[in-house]
Amino acid sequence: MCSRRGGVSVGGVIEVDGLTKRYGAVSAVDGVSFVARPGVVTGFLGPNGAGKSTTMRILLGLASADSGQALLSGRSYREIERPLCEVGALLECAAPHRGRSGYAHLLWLARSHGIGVQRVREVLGLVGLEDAARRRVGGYSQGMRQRLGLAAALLGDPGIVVLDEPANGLDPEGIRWLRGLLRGLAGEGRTVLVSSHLIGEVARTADRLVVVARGRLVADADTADFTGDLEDEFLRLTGGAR
Amino acid sequence: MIDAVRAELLKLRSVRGPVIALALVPVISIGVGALDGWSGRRAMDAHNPLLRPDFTAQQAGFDGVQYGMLALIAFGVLAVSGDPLGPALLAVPRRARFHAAKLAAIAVVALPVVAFSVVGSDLATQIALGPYGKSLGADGVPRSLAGAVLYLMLMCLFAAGCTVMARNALVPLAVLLPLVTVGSQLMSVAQSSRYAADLLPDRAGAQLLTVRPEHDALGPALGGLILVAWAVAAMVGGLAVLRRRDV
Repeated sequence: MCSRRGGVSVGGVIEVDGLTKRYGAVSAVDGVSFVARPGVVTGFLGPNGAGKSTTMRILLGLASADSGQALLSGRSYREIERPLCEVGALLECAAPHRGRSGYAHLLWLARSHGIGVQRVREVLGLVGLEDAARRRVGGYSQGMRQRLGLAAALLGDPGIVVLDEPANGLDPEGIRWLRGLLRGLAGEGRTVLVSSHLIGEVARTADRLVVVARGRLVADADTADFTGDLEDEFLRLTGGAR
Repeated sequence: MIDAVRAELLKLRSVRGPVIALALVPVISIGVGALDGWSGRRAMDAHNPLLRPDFTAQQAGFDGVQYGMLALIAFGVLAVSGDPLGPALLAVPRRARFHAAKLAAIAVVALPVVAFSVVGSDLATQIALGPYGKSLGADGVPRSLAGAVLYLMLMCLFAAGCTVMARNALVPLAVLLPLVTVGSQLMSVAQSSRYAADLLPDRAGAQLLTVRPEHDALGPALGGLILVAWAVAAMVGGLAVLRRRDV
């Protein structure tokens, strides 16, 4: 069972320090360092293949780093006793089994942490998936799968939320809803790290932008500090990657 | 750890593959057991010379579960291969704990089904044998019944461990099922490979359900130990692979 924080969730700091991951001769992540703080939406930007997903997989203990470290509130993910209660994650490589219903997926996740069925219904309502919950995930649209992934991420009422391309597959209405959700989570004092390859979308939501290209950090600043046209700036920063 | 096992139990229940495979275990065991007894009875009634000279009602009661075991191996494979690692490791990031919880859940689910299938299959055979049927309490049979349960459980965990190592369902199914059905039998025909075949998991383990072992056989204790070694090696090997694995 997740211990509640008296209604107020305070996130911990995400620290990525000198993270490096090689696949053969290719460096997917090359010495990336940044910090994401509570109460702030941190946008994690870069073109496809820049190393965003790899960084997040290492952060969440799914892959190992060659050097450097990625810590959540000072610990690695694998050291957290009840991880879903502290860190919620949406990752493509952690997609649910297609033959299981959305409800059953959330229910086994809940059971692994002693979380009650009431909370499963709560998060299903939060993402607007009550009607489809009993259907198998294989029959979901991409947007519904993203909503289920968000429900899974929020299941343990975590203080830290890590989302990889959460807007993928959402319709315009869903994207607006997601924006409000992320702002709301940060407003409650949680740490929100959200990746995207779409600069325009993230710039509207994020307070701070961390930009990577070809596995390297190319910018780390408050969104307000990016002067001029954000898209031009983004392409200038990441342009050398092509 | 208890929560992790409970989550694994729910996972096993909520997809079709493992559920169907496990449900087939008693169906095949009891069905083949009954058929085996019925054909034995007909052969003895007709004094058919084709009946095996070493046929005994006691041993015939264990023929059915050896076919049911094929479905049980499929269950062990599908229980592992049908569970995507990404969400599993987000929920239980310590790989040794996840591995132990998964194997424990497989054992907990399989045990009652296996016990029911072993006893049911023997019972079906003895009933179908009619006047030739023997009591399940006949000399050596209770020990073999317990041995058969152990044999099937170890083969299931062996299959699960192999699947964690192989990282997919195809290789373990394509290797284990033919090996168990024909491979080790073929090897045992030629005298040269016979001793090697006796050390394979299914043939060594089959000693556990042999009511009256032959004099030159390994015997239930040694055969059982060899199968335990195979199962432990597969499970430990699975953990070693899982520990190093990137999702």
